[in-house]
Amino acid sequence: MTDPYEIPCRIFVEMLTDYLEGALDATDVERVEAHLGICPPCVHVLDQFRETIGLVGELREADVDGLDAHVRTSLMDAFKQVHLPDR
Amino acid sequence: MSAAVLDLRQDGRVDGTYADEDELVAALRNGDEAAFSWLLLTYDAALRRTARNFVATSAVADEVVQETWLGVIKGLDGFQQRSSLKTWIYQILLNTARTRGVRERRTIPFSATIDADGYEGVFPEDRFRPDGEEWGGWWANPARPWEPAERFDRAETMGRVRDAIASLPDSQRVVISLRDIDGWTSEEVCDLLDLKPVNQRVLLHRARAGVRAKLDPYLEVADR
Repeated sequence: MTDPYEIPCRIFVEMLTDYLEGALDATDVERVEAHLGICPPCVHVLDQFRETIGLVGELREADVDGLDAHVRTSLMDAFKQVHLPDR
Repeated sequence: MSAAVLDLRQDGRVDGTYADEDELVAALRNGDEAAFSWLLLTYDAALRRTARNFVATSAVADEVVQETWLGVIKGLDGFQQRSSLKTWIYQILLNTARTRGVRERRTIPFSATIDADGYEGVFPEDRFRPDGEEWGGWWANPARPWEPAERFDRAETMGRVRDAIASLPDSQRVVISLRDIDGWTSEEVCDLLDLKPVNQRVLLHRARAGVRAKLDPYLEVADR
Protein backbone atom coordinates (compact mmCIF):
# COMPACT_ATOMS: atom_id res chain seq x y z
CA MET A 1 0.00 0.00 0.00
CA THR A 2 1.25 3.45 -0.87
CA ASP A 3 1.41 5.73 2.14
CA PRO A 4 -1.03 8.59 1.39
CA TYR A 5 0.95 10.82 3.73
CA GLU A 6 4.19 10.40 1.78
CA ILE A 7 3.91 13.61 -0.26
CA PRO A 8 2.71 16.82 1.35
CA CYS A 9 0.24 19.14 -0.43
CA ARG A 10 2.91 21.69 -1.39
CA ILE A 11 4.74 18.99 -3.37
CA PHE A 12 1.52 17.43 -4.65
CA VAL A 13 0.30 20.58 -6.38
CA GLU A 14 3.60 20.92 -8.26
CA MET A 15 3.20 17.38 -9.65
CA LEU A 16 -0.20 18.03 -11.22
CA THR A 17 0.89 18.83 -14.77
CA ASP A 18 3.24 15.85 -14.88
CA TYR A 19 0.34 13.76 -13.58
CA LEU A 20 -2.10 15.09 -16.18
CA GLU A 21 0.53 14.71 -18.92
CA GLY A 22 1.13 11.08 -18.05
CA ALA A 23 4.76 11.90 -17.32
CA LEU A 24 4.95 10.38 -13.83
CA ASP A 25 6.33 6.91 -13.21
CA ALA A 26 4.01 4.29 -11.72
CA THR A 27 5.24 4.89 -8.16
CA ASP A 28 4.54 8.62 -8.33
CA VAL A 29 1.12 8.02 -9.91
CA GLU A 30 0.27 5.84 -6.91
CA ARG A 31 1.54 8.51 -4.52
CA VAL A 32 -0.53 11.21 -6.22
CA GLU A 33 -3.66 9.09 -6.27
CA ALA A 34 -3.20 8.00 -2.66
CA HIS A 35 -2.87 11.67 -1.69
CA LEU A 36 -6.05 12.54 -3.60
CA GLY A 37 -7.85 9.85 -1.64
CA ILE A 38 -7.29 11.63 1.67
CA CYS A 39 -7.05 15.33 0.77
CA PRO A 40 -10.20 17.13 -0.48
CA PRO A 41 -8.49 20.53 -0.95
CA CYS A 42 -5.95 18.91 -3.31
CA VAL A 43 -8.85 17.31 -5.20
CA HIS A 44 -10.18 20.86 -5.68
CA VAL A 45 -6.82 21.96 -7.08
CA LEU A 46 -6.76 19.04 -9.53
CA ASP A 47 -10.30 19.95 -10.62
CA GLN A 48 -9.20 23.59 -11.02
CA PHE A 49 -6.28 22.60 -13.24
CA ARG A 50 -8.68 20.63 -15.43
CA GLU A 51 -11.14 23.55 -15.45
CA THR A 52 -8.32 25.96 -16.33
CA ILE A 53 -7.22 23.77 -19.25
CA GLY A 54 -10.83 23.62 -20.47
CA LEU A 55 -11.35 27.39 -20.23
CA VAL A 56 -8.05 28.16 -21.96
CA GLY A 57 -9.04 25.68 -24.68
CA GLU A 58 -12.24 27.64 -25.28
CA LEU A 59 -10.11 30.47 -26.66
CA ARG A 60 -9.62 28.19 -29.63
CA GLU A 61 -13.20 29.00 -30.58
CA ALA A 62 -12.41 32.70 -30.53
CA ASP A 63 -13.50 34.44 -33.66
CA VAL A 64 -10.82 35.22 -36.14
CA ASP A 65 -11.96 37.23 -39.13
CA GLY A 66 -11.79 35.51 -42.47
CA LEU A 67 -8.74 36.21 -44.57
CA ASP A 68 -9.09 39.66 -46.10
CA ALA A 69 -9.89 39.31 -49.81
CA HIS A 70 -7.20 41.81 -50.87
CA VAL A 71 -4.57 40.09 -48.73
CA ARG A 72 -5.61 36.75 -50.17
CA THR A 73 -5.31 38.04 -53.71
CA SER A 74 -1.89 39.57 -53.10
CA LEU A 75 -0.63 36.34 -51.48
CA MET A 76 -1.93 34.28 -54.40
CA ASP A 77 -0.20 36.70 -56.80
CA ALA A 78 3.05 36.43 -54.85
CA PHE A 79 2.76 32.65 -54.97
CA LYS A 80 2.16 32.66 -58.73
CA GLN A 81 5.17 34.92 -59.32
CA VAL A 82 7.58 32.74 -57.35
CA HIS A 83 6.29 29.30 -58.26
CA LEU A 84 5.70 28.92 -61.96
CA PRO A 85 4.02 25.70 -63.07
CA ASP A 86 6.16 23.34 -65.12
CA ARG A 87 5.35 23.66 -68.75
CA MET B 1 -5.41 13.08 -56.58
CA SER B 2 -6.58 10.88 -53.76
CA ALA B 3 -8.59 12.36 -50.97
CA ALA B 4 -7.82 12.21 -47.26
CA VAL B 5 -4.86 11.20 -45.10
CA LEU B 6 -3.19 14.39 -44.09
CA ASP B 7 -2.62 15.36 -40.55
CA LEU B 8 -2.35 18.99 -41.45
CA ARG B 9 -5.57 20.27 -40.02
CA GLN B 10 -5.18 21.21 -36.42
CA ASP B 11 -8.51 19.75 -35.47
CA GLY B 12 -7.34 16.39 -36.74
CA ARG B 13 -9.93 16.07 -39.48
CA VAL B 14 -8.68 14.18 -42.46
CA ASP B 15 -10.29 15.99 -45.35
CA GLY B 16 -7.16 17.14 -47.12
CA THR B 17 -6.95 16.79 -50.84
CA TYR B 18 -3.39 15.50 -51.05
CA ALA B 19 -2.35 11.93 -50.41
CA ASP B 20 0.52 12.98 -48.17
CA GLU B 21 2.71 15.91 -47.34
CA ASP B 22 5.28 15.09 -50.04
CA GLU B 23 2.56 15.34 -52.64
CA LEU B 24 1.35 18.65 -51.24
CA VAL B 25 4.85 20.13 -51.08
CA ALA B 26 5.57 18.95 -54.61
CA ALA B 27 2.33 20.54 -55.81
CA LEU B 28 3.21 23.82 -54.10
CA ARG B 29 6.68 23.90 -55.61
CA ASN B 30 5.15 23.21 -58.96
CA GLY B 31 3.01 26.32 -58.69
CA ASP B 32 -0.28 24.54 -58.01
CA GLU B 33 -2.55 27.43 -57.06
CA ALA B 34 -5.17 25.10 -55.61
CA ALA B 35 -2.53 23.71 -53.25
CA PHE B 36 -1.54 27.14 -52.00
CA SER B 37 -5.16 28.18 -51.70
CA TRP B 38 -5.77 25.04 -49.63
CA LEU B 39 -2.79 25.90 -47.43
CA LEU B 40 -4.17 29.39 -46.79
CA LEU B 41 -7.59 28.00 -46.00
CA THR B 42 -6.15 25.40 -43.65
CA TYR B 43 -3.66 27.51 -41.71
CA ASP B 44 -4.37 31.20 -41.99
CA ALA B 45 -6.94 31.51 -39.19
CA ALA B 46 -4.91 29.28 -36.85
CA LEU B 47 -1.75 31.25 -37.57
CA ARG B 48 -3.44 34.55 -36.84
CA ARG B 49 -4.94 33.24 -33.63
CA THR B 50 -1.54 31.98 -32.51
CA ALA B 51 0.18 35.18 -33.60
CA ARG B 52 -2.13 37.17 -31.33
CA ASN B 53 -0.52 35.42 -28.40
CA PHE B 54 2.91 36.43 -29.64
CA VAL B 55 2.47 40.11 -30.39
CA ALA B 56 0.70 43.04 -28.85
CA THR B 57 -2.28 43.66 -31.12
CA SER B 58 -4.36 41.70 -33.61
CA ALA B 59 -3.43 44.22 -36.32
CA VAL B 60 0.25 43.43 -35.78
CA ALA B 61 -0.63 39.72 -35.64
CA ASP B 62 -2.29 39.94 -39.06
CA GLU B 63 0.80 41.67 -40.47
CA VAL B 64 3.06 39.04 -38.95
CA VAL B 65 0.98 36.29 -40.55
CA GLN B 66 1.08 38.02 -43.94
CA GLU B 67 4.86 38.24 -43.67
CA THR B 68 4.88 34.59 -42.65
CA TRP B 69 3.02 33.61 -45.81
CA LEU B 70 5.49 35.54 -47.93
CA GLY B 71 8.28 33.71 -46.11
CA VAL B 72 6.56 30.40 -46.86
CA ILE B 73 6.27 31.29 -50.54
CA LYS B 74 9.94 32.26 -50.75
CA GLY B 75 11.16 29.39 -48.64
CA LEU B 76 9.25 26.49 -50.19
CA ASP B 77 11.99 25.49 -52.61
CA GLY B 78 14.51 25.38 -49.79
CA PHE B 79 12.24 23.53 -47.32
CA GLN B 80 14.16 20.38 -46.39
CA GLN B 81 11.16 18.54 -44.89
CA ARG B 82 13.15 17.65 -41.81
CA SER B 83 10.12 18.77 -39.80
CA SER B 84 6.48 18.71 -40.80
CA LEU B 85 5.16 21.45 -43.05
CA LYS B 86 3.09 22.72 -40.12
CA THR B 87 6.12 23.02 -37.82
CA TRP B 88 8.11 24.70 -40.58
CA ILE B 89 5.35 27.27 -41.19
CA TYR B 90 5.13 27.98 -37.45
CA GLN B 91 8.91 28.36 -37.26
CA ILE B 92 8.62 31.10 -39.85
CA LEU B 93 5.76 32.63 -37.85
CA LEU B 94 7.84 32.54 -34.67
CA ASN B 95 10.86 34.10 -36.39
CA THR B 96 8.71 36.82 -37.89
CA ALA B 97 6.98 37.48 -34.57
CA ARG B 98 10.34 37.60 -32.81
CA THR B 99 11.62 40.21 -35.22
CA ARG B 100 8.48 42.24 -34.65
CA GLY B 101 8.61 41.59 -30.92
CA VAL B 102 12.16 42.89 -30.70
CA ARG B 103 11.09 46.03 -32.52
CA GLU B 104 8.20 46.42 -30.12
CA ARG B 105 10.21 45.48 -27.06
CA ARG B 106 8.39 42.27 -26.55
CA THR B 107 10.55 39.21 -26.88
CA ILE B 108 9.52 35.84 -28.14
CA PRO B 109 11.80 33.14 -26.81
CA PHE B 110 13.21 30.81 -29.38
CA SER B 111 14.80 28.42 -27.00
CA ALA B 112 12.55 29.13 -24.07
CA THR B 113 14.20 29.51 -20.69
CA ILE B 114 12.67 28.39 -17.46
CA ASP B 115 14.85 30.22 -14.98
CA ALA B 116 14.23 33.55 -13.39
CA ASP B 117 10.63 33.92 -14.46
CA GLY B 118 9.48 34.69 -10.95
CA TYR B 119 7.56 31.45 -10.45
CA GLU B 120 6.84 30.84 -6.78
CA GLY B 121 4.59 27.82 -6.88
CA VAL B 122 0.96 26.98 -7.61
CA PHE B 123 0.17 28.64 -4.27
CA PRO B 124 2.17 31.11 -2.18
CA GLU B 125 4.32 29.52 0.49
CA ASP B 126 2.14 30.84 3.32
CA ARG B 127 -0.78 28.69 2.24
CA PHE B 128 1.13 25.71 3.68
CA ARG B 129 2.42 24.88 7.16
CA PRO B 130 6.14 25.60 7.51
CA ASP B 131 8.62 22.76 7.16
CA GLY B 132 9.80 21.46 10.51
CA GLU B 133 6.42 21.91 12.11
CA GLU B 134 3.94 19.12 12.51
CA TRP B 135 2.25 18.59 9.10
CA GLY B 136 4.91 20.76 7.44
CA GLY B 137 4.07 21.27 3.74
CA TRP B 138 0.38 20.43 4.26
CA TRP B 139 -2.35 23.02 3.94
CA ALA B 140 -2.46 25.85 6.47
CA ASN B 141 -5.08 27.70 4.45
CA PRO B 142 -6.60 25.01 2.23
CA ALA B 143 -7.65 25.52 -1.36
CA ARG B 144 -11.36 26.05 -1.72
CA PRO B 145 -13.46 24.67 -4.57
CA TRP B 146 -14.57 26.77 -7.52
CA GLU B 147 -18.11 27.57 -8.44
CA PRO B 148 -19.15 25.99 -11.75
CA ALA B 149 -18.07 28.35 -14.54
CA GLU B 150 -21.62 28.28 -15.96
CA ARG B 151 -22.68 30.51 -13.06
CA PHE B 152 -20.50 33.33 -14.37
CA ASP B 153 -20.86 35.58 -17.37
CA ARG B 154 -19.09 33.75 -20.16
CA ALA B 155 -17.69 36.85 -21.84
CA GLU B 156 -16.25 38.08 -18.56
CA THR B 157 -14.76 34.70 -17.71
CA MET B 158 -13.12 34.41 -21.12
CA GLY B 159 -11.84 37.98 -20.81
CA ARG B 160 -10.18 37.03 -17.54
CA VAL B 161 -8.68 33.91 -19.09
CA ARG B 162 -7.30 36.00 -21.95
CA ASP B 163 -5.86 38.61 -19.56
CA ALA B 164 -4.33 35.89 -17.40
CA ILE B 165 -2.54 34.40 -20.41
CA ALA B 166 -1.42 37.82 -21.59
CA SER B 167 0.21 38.50 -18.22
CA LEU B 168 2.34 35.33 -18.29
CA PRO B 169 6.07 35.47 -19.00
CA ASP B 170 6.72 35.09 -22.74
CA SER B 171 7.95 31.52 -22.81
CA GLN B 172 5.06 30.32 -20.65
CA ARG B 173 2.54 32.18 -22.80
CA VAL B 174 3.85 30.63 -26.00
CA VAL B 175 3.81 27.10 -24.56
CA ILE B 176 0.30 27.31 -23.08
CA SER B 177 -1.01 28.89 -26.29
CA LEU B 178 0.31 26.11 -28.47
CA ARG B 179 -0.63 23.29 -26.11
CA ASP B 180 -3.92 24.31 -24.57
CA ILE B 181 -5.35 26.68 -27.18
CA ASP B 182 -4.01 25.33 -30.46
CA GLY B 183 -4.00 21.71 -29.33
CA TRP B 184 -0.40 20.94 -30.28
CA THR B 185 1.22 17.82 -28.85
CA SER B 186 4.13 18.15 -26.44
CA GLU B 187 6.41 16.67 -29.11
CA GLU B 188 5.41 19.33 -31.63
CA VAL B 189 6.03 22.12 -29.10
CA CYS B 190 9.42 20.69 -28.13
CA ASP B 191 10.33 20.49 -31.82
CA LEU B 192 9.22 24.03 -32.60
CA LEU B 193 10.80 25.68 -29.55
CA ASP B 194 13.80 23.37 -29.28
CA LEU B 195 12.82 22.41 -25.74
CA LYS B 196 13.52 19.28 -23.74
CA PRO B 197 10.28 17.50 -22.78
CA VAL B 198 10.85 18.11 -19.07
CA ASN B 199 11.30 21.85 -19.64
CA GLN B 200 8.22 22.00 -21.83
CA ARG B 201 6.24 20.49 -18.95
CA VAL B 202 7.75 22.94 -16.44
CA LEU B 203 6.70 25.89 -18.62
CA LEU B 204 3.25 24.43 -19.20
CA HIS B 205 2.81 23.81 -15.46
CA ARG B 206 3.86 27.33 -14.51
CA ALA B 207 1.58 28.77 -17.18
CA ARG B 208 -1.43 26.73 -16.05
CA ALA B 209 -0.65 27.56 -12.42
CA GLY B 210 -0.47 31.26 -13.33
CA VAL B 211 -3.82 31.23 -15.11
CA ARG B 212 -5.39 29.18 -12.29
CA ALA B 213 -4.14 31.69 -9.73
CA LYS B 214 -5.60 34.62 -11.69
CA LEU B 215 -8.98 32.87 -11.93
CA ASP B 216 -8.97 31.76 -8.30
CA PRO B 217 -10.39 34.90 -6.63
CA TYR B 218 -13.05 35.12 -9.34
CA LEU B 219 -14.27 31.51 -9.40
CA GLU B 220 -13.61 30.49 -5.79
CA VAL B 221 -16.70 29.85 -3.66
CA ALA B 222 -17.50 32.90 -1.60
CA ASP B 223 -16.73 33.09 2.13
CA ARG B 224 -19.53 31.81 4.22
